[in-house]
Amino acid sequence: MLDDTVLDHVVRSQVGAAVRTWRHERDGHSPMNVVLDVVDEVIGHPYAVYWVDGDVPEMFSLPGLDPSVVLFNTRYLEMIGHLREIVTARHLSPELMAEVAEQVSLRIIAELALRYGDPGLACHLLVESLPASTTYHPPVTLRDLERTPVGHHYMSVWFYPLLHELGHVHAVTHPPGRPEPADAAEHLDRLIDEVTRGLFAADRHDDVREWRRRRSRPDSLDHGVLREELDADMFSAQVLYTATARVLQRDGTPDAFRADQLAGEILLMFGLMQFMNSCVMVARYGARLGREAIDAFNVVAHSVRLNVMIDFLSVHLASGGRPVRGADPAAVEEMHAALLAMHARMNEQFTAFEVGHARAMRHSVLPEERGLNVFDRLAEAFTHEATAAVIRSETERFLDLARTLDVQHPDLDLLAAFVARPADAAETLDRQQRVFLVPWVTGEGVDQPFGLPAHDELVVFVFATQRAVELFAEECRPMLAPGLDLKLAAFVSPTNQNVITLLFQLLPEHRPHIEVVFQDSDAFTERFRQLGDGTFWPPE
Amino acid sequence: MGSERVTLVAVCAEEAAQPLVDTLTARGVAAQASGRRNLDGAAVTSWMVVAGVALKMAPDILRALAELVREFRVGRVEMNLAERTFAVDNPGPADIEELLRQFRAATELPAGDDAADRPPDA
Repeated sequence: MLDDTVLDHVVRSQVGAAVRTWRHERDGHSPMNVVLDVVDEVIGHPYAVYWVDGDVPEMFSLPGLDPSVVLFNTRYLEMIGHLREIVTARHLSPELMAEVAEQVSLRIIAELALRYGDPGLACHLLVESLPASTTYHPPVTLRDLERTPVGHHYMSVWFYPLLHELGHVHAVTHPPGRPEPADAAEHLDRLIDEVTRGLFAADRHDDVREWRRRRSRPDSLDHGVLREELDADMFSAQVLYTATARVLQRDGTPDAFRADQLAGEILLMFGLMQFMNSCVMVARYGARLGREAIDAFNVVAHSVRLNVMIDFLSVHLASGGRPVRGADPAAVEEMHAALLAMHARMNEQFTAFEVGHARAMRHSVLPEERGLNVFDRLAEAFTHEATAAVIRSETERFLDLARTLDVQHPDLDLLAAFVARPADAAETLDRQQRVFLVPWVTGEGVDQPFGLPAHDELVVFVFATQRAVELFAEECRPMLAPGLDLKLAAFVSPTNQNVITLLFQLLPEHRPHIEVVFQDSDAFTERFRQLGDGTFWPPE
Repeated sequence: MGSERVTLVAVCAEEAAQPLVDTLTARGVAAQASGRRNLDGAAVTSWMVVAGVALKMAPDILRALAELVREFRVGRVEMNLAERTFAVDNPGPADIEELLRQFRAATELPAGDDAADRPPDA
């Protein structure tokens, strides 16, 4: 078994440099300890829960260790709590809901991008997330969550994600049956097929099947992966039921326990966690981290899991939480219909949120859809009384996170300067303006930034010095087709990100993947090394 | 210094995890491996190998890792000693040797006076 020192080091290795972490102590009779008492009764494997405070909103576990390690992230709690507040807000019109959803989604992605190694993108998305108008939904803090009355809402927000991770620890001693029973495999295949048909048009459905058949590594629809998730889903729901009933009993309000209300909270959390998951996915993609490992079928897997969860909850509710074999089929059917209706109502709430969330996704993944000159707008907003206070506090919080993660970047410095002297923001921005030089190809109906075709993308080189760009252009001119000419274009911008957005907007709509590399960056040096040794070019 | 311990954390792909554990086990170090399971329900793509290592054994272990990274891709190697962390990303053999040099210098472990300079099976 790993000792405490080793465990502490393992946890520290997985979080930001100055993030606070501590092992959860089982003192007292808090709701969390009641939850963990229930976990102890069923889990059969030692585990250690670590609190993580001040990091980006990420939760994960290392179930294969002895003891297993589960990270309980306070920022994840705040964000999932915030999402819940927004989605369930009755006072927001669909338009405002979409606007707020976009803000919070961009904020989550910005924080994750900071962690995943793209501070420039992180700063850009942060600025886009800041309210341009007075539309603003104040963030939910840990203190707000602590003040929530202990009940179904409290228990599901605080513990449902944690219990899902503990479900993976449970799987260490209770792995899904192997080999998978034939009827279970068929059932899962049928479900995947139905969900895929529901999500994709008929021809796309066949494409998906073919794509998955040719996959080289497991994805979230692989039975092994999916069954582990399903087991963790059911474990978390089951433990949450028992623990919530016990907590209400402890508080002297056992009659307040409503199984159907808790089922609704679980389904709500299921949807909110999927919003968080999609933020993680696009942040990884946007930061070019493990782009090849993006799991495109996550959304299908989520729908499959949702269907199984509704089936599970139907049986659970119909049997009053007793073993599933005792359930009356007619009662199960009735519960199933009730849960589907509940989910349909929830989906109506989700629809407006999804509009804004989808916009945030697109901004993160597609540079051409991002806003131009967002720092100019921010500098101006710092001087407006109506927005300055909110913008300042949100920016400060982001800068605190960057410090905790020990991330440094010129765009972070620019934000810090805005916060330090808001009245001088416009002047600060003026001083930050730099000239970026880009080779530009013209002639024969072509008029766009020049790029070199590499293995899998078009690489656009951006230079800081006249001499370097002229040498580069000289080398490249002989490669041009007849009738084309290479010129130089100069852009003035305070940030690299703004130049990336501009270049993407100036390139034709139908084009290969683009990589923009800036002089003096590691990526630029690496691309020049590849040009030097010939590995840059696509195979003949 | 004799009783000090170092925590080795290596981040790698699944195919490298067991060879890493085997390498450490062959040198008498109890190592464990686990996939990092994120809340997003995606297939596990990142594995960690973890071991507590006696300080004097650390150079020997690093040399073994330097051999191993010739064959398997390892994303990160960390040696944690109390509050200090020595780390290298995407290391090749030379990077691990450099990590060992830094580690020796920082811990004042003498070259040529530790398990590193004995063949593993001696």
